[in-house]
Amino acid sequence: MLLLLSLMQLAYVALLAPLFAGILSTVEEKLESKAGPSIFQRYFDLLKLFRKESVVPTVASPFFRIAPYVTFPMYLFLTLVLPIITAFPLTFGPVVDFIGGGLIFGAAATVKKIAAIDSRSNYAHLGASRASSISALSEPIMVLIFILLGVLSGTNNPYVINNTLQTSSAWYGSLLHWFVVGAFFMVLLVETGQLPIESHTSAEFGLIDQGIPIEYSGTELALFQWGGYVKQFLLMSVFLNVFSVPFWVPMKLSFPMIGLYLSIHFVKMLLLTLIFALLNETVSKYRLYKNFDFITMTFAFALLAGLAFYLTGGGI
Amino acid sequence: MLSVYGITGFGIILLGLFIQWQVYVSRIVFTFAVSSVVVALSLFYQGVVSGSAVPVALAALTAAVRGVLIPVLIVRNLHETPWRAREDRPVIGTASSILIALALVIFGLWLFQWAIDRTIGAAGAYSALPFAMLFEGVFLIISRRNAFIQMVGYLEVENAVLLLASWGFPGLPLVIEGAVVLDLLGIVVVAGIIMRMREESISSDDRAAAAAAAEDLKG
Amino acid sequence: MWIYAIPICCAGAASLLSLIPVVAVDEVVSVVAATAATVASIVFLFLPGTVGPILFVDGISKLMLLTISLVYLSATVFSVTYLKYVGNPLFRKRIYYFLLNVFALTMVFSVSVSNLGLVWFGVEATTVTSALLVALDNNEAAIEASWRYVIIVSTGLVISLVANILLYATSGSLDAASLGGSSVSGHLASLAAALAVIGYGTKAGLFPLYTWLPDVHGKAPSPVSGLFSAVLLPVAVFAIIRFLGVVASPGARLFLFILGVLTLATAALILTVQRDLKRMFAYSTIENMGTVLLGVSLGGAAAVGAVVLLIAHAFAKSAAFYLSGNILARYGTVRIAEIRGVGRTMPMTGITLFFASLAVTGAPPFGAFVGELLILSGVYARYGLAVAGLVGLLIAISFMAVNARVVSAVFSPVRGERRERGIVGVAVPLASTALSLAVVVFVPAIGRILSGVIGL
Repeated sequence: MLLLLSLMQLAYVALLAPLFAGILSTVEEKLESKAGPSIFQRYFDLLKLFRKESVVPTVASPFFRIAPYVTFPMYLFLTLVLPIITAFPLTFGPVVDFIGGGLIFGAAATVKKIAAIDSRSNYAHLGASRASSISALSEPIMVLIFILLGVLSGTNNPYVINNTLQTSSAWYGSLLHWFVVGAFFMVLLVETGQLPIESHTSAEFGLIDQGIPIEYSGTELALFQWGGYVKQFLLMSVFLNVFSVPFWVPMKLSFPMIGLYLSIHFVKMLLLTLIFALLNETVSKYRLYKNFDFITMTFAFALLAGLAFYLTGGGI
Repeated sequence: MLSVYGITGFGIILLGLFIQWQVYVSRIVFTFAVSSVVVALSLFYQGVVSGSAVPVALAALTAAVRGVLIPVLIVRNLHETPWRAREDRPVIGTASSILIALALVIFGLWLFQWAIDRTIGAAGAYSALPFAMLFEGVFLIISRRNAFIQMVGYLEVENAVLLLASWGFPGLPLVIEGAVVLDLLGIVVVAGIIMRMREESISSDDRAAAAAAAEDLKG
Repeated sequence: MWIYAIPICCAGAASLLSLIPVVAVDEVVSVVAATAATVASIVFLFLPGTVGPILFVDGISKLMLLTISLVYLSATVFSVTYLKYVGNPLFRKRIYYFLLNVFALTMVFSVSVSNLGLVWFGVEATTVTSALLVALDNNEAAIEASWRYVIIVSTGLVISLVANILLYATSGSLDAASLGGSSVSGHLASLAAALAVIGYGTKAGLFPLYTWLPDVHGKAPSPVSGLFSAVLLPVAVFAIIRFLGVVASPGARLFLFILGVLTLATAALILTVQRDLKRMFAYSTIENMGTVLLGVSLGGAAAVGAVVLLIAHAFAKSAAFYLSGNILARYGTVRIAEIRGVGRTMPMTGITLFFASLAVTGAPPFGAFVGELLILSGVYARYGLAVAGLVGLLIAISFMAVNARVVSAVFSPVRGERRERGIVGVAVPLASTALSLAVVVFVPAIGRILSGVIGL
């Protein structure tokens, strides 16, 4: 039964991830009073890329070819361990906690960067070095956020955190929780490459994550992009299900409830996507070095969460 | 449980950090105005809850003078002198400034908790927040060169003192609160005159002479 | 008791009368008021002090009143001659005298009131009244200096307001006279004292926030520089003494001592690279205030030494700034490299400057020497040879730095016409320097007056 639900979750994430990426770009275009592409455009892109032949730089080692086949399963594995459609652990749930999930994210990012360096393209190097210098600062903040959530629930298990927040309105309303929400939202913007941090063009000035797969083509590029959509979907789900709106996630095994929640989750994701679109259309991109000020502010949020907890003597 | 003191207290600490984050003077002034309004709201709340008139009066004063009047004056002045809209050279980098301000906040909280060994005042443990904000304001003055930003830092310190006195030690004699107001008035008058003069001297002298004089000041 | 309000009344009346728009009334009224305040302060020395709800005058208040009145007198007299050399003043002459008198009023007010809140108010009022005086020269640098002064010092004073709030929270009162006997203690009181040290220390030129001081002293008109260095900073020191007299906190005293040593070290190191005469004297003031605060932090004989140093330094440093004014008027610059042969061109000014600079750096016959000796022996008794040696070394460095530059400016051979200033411009600094020498005679008397003062 749990295995079935796991497979359902996997299919839900893997199939819907490109859709939200498509919706985001369509809404952005609409906000600019353009017609915009179809919301299914990302599916067409992926299909086209799967049919195309792959071109590999002559100087690249075999690792370059292998990388997408390593990272994509990593993201798929993560979909099996995070609370997306249920608030109770599924078959693979007990395998890792938040820190472990963070490690897998980090490992996938590292493989991508090594592959980018392996491609010997200047643009890929540029993107990899920028992405590394940003994530070197943002990932410790992510760990700090998980530790603060550990304060809240006593564990680092996303399911337990979700249950605590769902059932305790005191914790849900605490300053600790809301500062953590603020910090994680900012990290989310950094990790998913939304606008104050990164614009979605391959212009050299703002090139960060966009630079990494620049030498890829064909099936490898498709896997890379699909993995990216899955990563974005997962982070947004975690933000919604664990941090900001933990409600209604089914805590008991009941198929009608889970079916109902699927639609609620879809609406939640849609709203967050709209917020991202609005953000992308209203704020302008920071200069590269200003990103670090943004990350410092994220750190400030996370630290203030700890201070709020400490100031009230460990109470709520 | 959530308390108004906690939300507003951490709100002003956060707005203080936002001020450190900004580059444009008008943004900084606007953020400061918001933080003054937050201070006024929390004072008003305290007055209503405790049924005393002094915090309400302070709230009205804060909202009127530091929430509206001074920000409006500064922003209007900025429109007349557009070259001041942006600080050309912050003393320390923005990220380091934010980190130092954070460290000062932690230090302030620690210091206050060390000094206070019992629950005090209306806001209890949250009384330490205005004390920490004091350090934030002082650091803003030290870390910026622009006169308007320094003025904002000074007013932030002033806000912090009002809030500290009102939250932590309600029932202080009026001599101190009166002194705060007088102090504010005096400083605004003098600062206004001096700003006016700086402006005139910049527009009348040629800029090279002004630059040479500024160089001279550095010793 | 109300007899002690005479200096306040004199300065207040003079400030109002000097606004009368009749030629020379402002000058005459100011000089008369300053003289009256001086005479009254001398009489006070022979009267018993007062402990009242509003006025609180003990030994140190009396000495401060006398010093303030004397420097006030010399500054007003010297202003009569100096103002002729200000080319493009920011405001009229009678406004200048009005502000000068109000400035003096706020200072005598600060040292004779009892409530620490009122002391704070007086010190804050000195900032407001003196800010415009700094900008008299009406150029970009002077106005910039004035701005820095207002913003940094006001911030410091807000910190000392917090100190007052915390003190009130601990003790329920701010009355120095009634609190003095009980000596408040505890963590909160210690924090209050430390904040008072930082806050008032900003005004006294103490280590972290002294940066406004050289700018203001370098750019203000000479009589105002003299007043600042000689009495305004000591008024802030007085506020620290009062606060430490009320609060029993060894921690705060140690904090003050550390800041004092840091102040001394910074000033001594910066003094070695100064090129500007007035800024050099400003750093010398910082160095002296650091030494004074070392004495204050130690208490006992060292604190008596601190007061002796404070008084002797006041007279000598005001003289040094007046003389810098003379040089500025004659040479048109205060860059030391361009001031050559003062001893030839302006013999009286040159010689007086030489002695005044010896006096401010604590050369043997002057009062400052005795003060520094007492403080050094106090440091040795409390913290041992190494610390005392360090303090002595720093004092010696600044001694050499200041005097080497003054000697090079005064005694360098140059061929120039002799053009001395008028009799007033020469006599006032000379008299001040002589007073600084005379202080040494009165050291035992000062010790007697200070016996029983709280906080020392």
